[in-house]
Formats: sequence, structure tokens, C-alpha cells
Amino acid sequence: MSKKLASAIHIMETAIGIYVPVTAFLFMFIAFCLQIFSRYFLNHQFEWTYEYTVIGFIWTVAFGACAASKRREHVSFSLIYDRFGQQGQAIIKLVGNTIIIIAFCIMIYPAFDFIRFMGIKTTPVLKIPISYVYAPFLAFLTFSILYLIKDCLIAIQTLLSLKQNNPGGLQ
Amino acid sequence: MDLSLWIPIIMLVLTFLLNIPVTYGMLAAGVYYLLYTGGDIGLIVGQTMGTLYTGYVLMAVPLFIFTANVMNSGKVTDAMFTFSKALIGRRRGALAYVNVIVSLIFSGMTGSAIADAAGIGKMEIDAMVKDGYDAPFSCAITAASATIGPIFPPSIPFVIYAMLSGTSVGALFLGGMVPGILLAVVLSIYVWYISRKRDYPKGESFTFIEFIKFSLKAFPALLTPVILLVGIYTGVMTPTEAGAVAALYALIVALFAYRVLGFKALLVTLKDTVIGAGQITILTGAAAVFTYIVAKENIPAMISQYILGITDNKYLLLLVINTLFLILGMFLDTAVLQFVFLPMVIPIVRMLGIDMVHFGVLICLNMMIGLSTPPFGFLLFITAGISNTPFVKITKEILPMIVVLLALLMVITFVPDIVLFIPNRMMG
Repeated sequence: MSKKLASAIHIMETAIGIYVPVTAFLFMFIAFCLQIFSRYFLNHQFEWTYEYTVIGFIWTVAFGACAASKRREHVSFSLIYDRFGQQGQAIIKLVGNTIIIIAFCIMIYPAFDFIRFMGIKTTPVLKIPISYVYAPFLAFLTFSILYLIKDCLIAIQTLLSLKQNNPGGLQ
Repeated sequence: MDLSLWIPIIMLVLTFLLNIPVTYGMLAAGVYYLLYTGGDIGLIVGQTMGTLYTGYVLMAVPLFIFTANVMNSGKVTDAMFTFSKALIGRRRGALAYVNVIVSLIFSGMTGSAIADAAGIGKMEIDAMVKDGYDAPFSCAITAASATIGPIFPPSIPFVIYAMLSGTSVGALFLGGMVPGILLAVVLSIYVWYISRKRDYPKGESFTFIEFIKFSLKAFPALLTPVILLVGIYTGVMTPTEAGAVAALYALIVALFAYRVLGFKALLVTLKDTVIGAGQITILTGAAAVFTYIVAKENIPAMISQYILGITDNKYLLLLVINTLFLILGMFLDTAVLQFVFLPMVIPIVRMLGIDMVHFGVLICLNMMIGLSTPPFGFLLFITAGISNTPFVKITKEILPMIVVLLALLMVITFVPDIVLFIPNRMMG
């Protein structure tokens, strides 16, 4: 059961973190090429290509950021963190992640509400509700929270194993 | 002082102390700030996604990353390397010159110093060490020459600076041309000096026919920056469109001319592209939240008031900003400098009437020097990692090169025409 769950999570992570942004990027790229080709070779400006490129771009970035969250590849300042040992790093991770998890959890509902509210606006040409354009932000937020929680659990596990190995107290 | 002013400052300090990703730190600062001031937290989505929705120029970022990833494949870099070797011929220290020239060519395709050092860097260092150069020198020249990447167009940091300051990307690209070439020239002068002093090996000799053969082999790749630059400079394409054309051209060249991109390799390239784009560009959106708070709390005005109280001489101010950014750049990531500190100084620079194109080029050069400056220059870590060379030894070798780069930075700071000559002539 747990194997099935792990495989389902892996498939979902790959789909959201890799296939969706790759598709969005290709979508944006092709729309761009069409836009340039039609303007310079057919002397005609498609109105819809710009909106496709923008939507493709936003989806690429937001879902790509989910994948960056998974790989822990977001830019961070590790100068002080690297100076600490395993125990210190685990404590720092725990404190830092908790601050962010609280902030992101507070943000979820207002973000959802704002995105839903933006549904009253549409893009000028394709009339796509802006809520669809902005929606990947919620995926980014959710993914980030889940990975932050996972890191917290790893940090707790590290602290517990250190305590077990050194029953006299943590160094 | 009101607590609302302290919230972004405290969050920033915590972000640095607790190894929090900068994107998360900025978004969290927005949440706590709006929670305290009673604002609508949903505004954060508006700022983040709105910046991306209206940031047409930012669309160039994934396109440049894609071009760099495609062009970083083995056969393409091999072709450029052999062409540069044939170009330099039997000069003493030939491979060190080749290192600089390849970086200049590569910079016309990628716009990223890290892509340069991490991509073609290993090949350059391996070839130099095999030829009898000291490994630390090979790593140091690779790191120093990689700084050309974001200065010679195209450039991802220029695109982000354009977004933050409202400056024309085209003008910045034009402005980066001469400084990019000058960087290659000053590093070549240093290579000339050190090669004689240490009696580094001479290069191979090539016949004219061989030179033509290698040039033809490199030609499709060499055409990428030409297409990009001509497209922008003739006004036929916007820089973003030029990014798309360069990406398409790179794809065609990799698929058909060099045959290096199979389906699996293409998928890996696309995967790396979207992750790279997500990592850099979401930070731009999050920075918009932070900039919003900073502007609302009038922080740039406070800083301006303080600095203008000391001096209103624009060259002195540039010197102060340069020194500040150089020191910060020794410890902080370029992205942190660009997204956190740059928005605070841009209003002062504008207030003093400093040309924004000039400032953009010099501050990007400054940040790139920071990338190679000990103790925490990221390019040094990359070259040390890919070559298994002790970091401390590279540090010693890079110092004279940093002095050379700093001298150029000072010249560019006090002679704006080096940057502005081409954009003023071509864009009026």
C-alpha cells in the first residue's frame, strides 16, 4: 500500500513539476515562433499568440518553481548554516521552515480568494479568466508547504537519531 | 520607529541566518507585513503573478536558459574549443587565451556566467591541465573569464535589471558589448604576462586548411550570437523575440548540424530549462512583494536622504555603491543583491541623474566580479568542484585577475561613454 502511495506521489510530482511546465514552455515557445513568423513573413499579426506566450510563461515559471522546491534549488544564503554541525543545521531548518510554513498557511486562503476574485477579469483576446492564469501560484504554495514539512520531519528525525546515538545529551 | 518597518528587515535577517530560500523569505515578509498592517494578504498573489503577467521582457529568461542548455552539449562546445585553438595557434599560453575567447563566444549564446563555468569549464580546465598548466590557474582563469557571460549580450542579469529599473533591454545589451570585449582584452593581457613569467606551453600549430575546416565546423554555433545581436540591433526583433529565434536556431543547429540532441537529451534540456526558469523568475515575482513593502515604508527615500546627506556627487556615489556591492557580492548570491539591494539604490541613482544603462552595466559587472571573488565566489566553487582542485589554491590564483577586473570596473565607472557609446549612437 505504502509502495503504491509512494509511486502515486512520485507520478504526481513528476507530472506537476516536470511535464506541466515543460508543456507550458513548449506552448510558449511555439506561440512565440508563430508570432514572429506571421509578423515578418506573412505580414500579419495574430492577436492571440501574445496571450498564449504570457500564459505559457507564467505556467512554466510557477510549475518550474514547484520542481525547484522539490530539488531544494531556490536561492538561499548558506554561509552561516554551513558552519553548523548536523544538530545545529537541523534546528536551524526546523525554525526557518516553521516561520515559512506558518506564513504560507496563512496565505493559502487569501491567495485562493484573490485568485477566485480575479475570475471576473478575462484576458483581452482569448477571454480566459485571469484566475486560470494565476492559479498555478496555489500549486507552488502547496508544493512548497509540503516540501517544507518534509524537511522539518527529516530535521526532527536527525535530532532524534542524534539523541539516540548520544543518550547523554545533544552536543 | 514603527514595527511595520522592522518586519521586512527582521524577515530579511532571518532569511540569511536560517538558510531560508530568498523567494520564501520575501513572500513570508509580505504575509507578516500585511497581517500586521491589516492589508489584504491576497495582494501578494497580485504582486507576484501580476509582475510575471505584465513582464514581457522576463519571458526572455527561459528562452536564454534553453539556448544555453542546448548549446552546452558536447559537440557544440568541442567545435568552439577547436576553432578557438586554431585561431590562437602557437602563442605561448595558447589554451589560456582559448579559455577567454571561448567564454566570449559562449557569452554571446548563454548570458550566464554559471552556464559558462559549469558547462564548457570542465573541458577547458582538463585540456589546460593535460597541456601542463597548473590546475589552480586553469580554474581561476575559467572562473574569471566566465564573468564575461552576463556582460556581453545576451544577459539574464540585464533582463532582470531592465525589469527592476524600467530600462530598455536593447540599450543594456548594446551597452554591454564594449565592456564584454574589454573584459576579454584585459584578461588576455594578464594571460600574456603570466604565460611569459611561468613559461606556459605554446599552442598547436594549424595549417590554413585546418583553420578553415574548424571554422566551418564551428560556424553554425558561431552564428547564434550573430542572429541574436543583428536581430536586436537592427530593430527587427525585440530582445524577447530574439531570445525565441536564438532558441529555435540553437535547437535546429543541435538537431541537424551537430546531431547532439536525441529525444531523451531534449527532455533533460527542457527539464533543466523549466527548473532554472522557475528558480530565477519566481524570485522576480517574490521580489515585487518585497519592493512593494520597501516602497510603502519609504525605505528608498530614507536611504537616499541619508546618502545624499553625505554626498550628492554622482561619481562619489557610484564609488560608494560599487564598494558596497563588491563587499556584499563577496558573501551573497547575485540574485540576493539584484532582488534585495538593487531596488533600494535604483531610486537614488535615478535621482542623481546617473544614466540607467551605464549603471546597469557597471552594477552587473560588479556583481559578476563578486561571483569570482573569495571567500565565497560561486564560480570558484564551481571550478573547484568540477576539477577537484583545492579551493584555497584557486583563491590565490584568482586575486591578481580580480585586481585586473576591478581596474576595468573603475574605468567603466568613471568613463560612462565606454558603455553608452554604442547605445547612444544606435538608439539615439
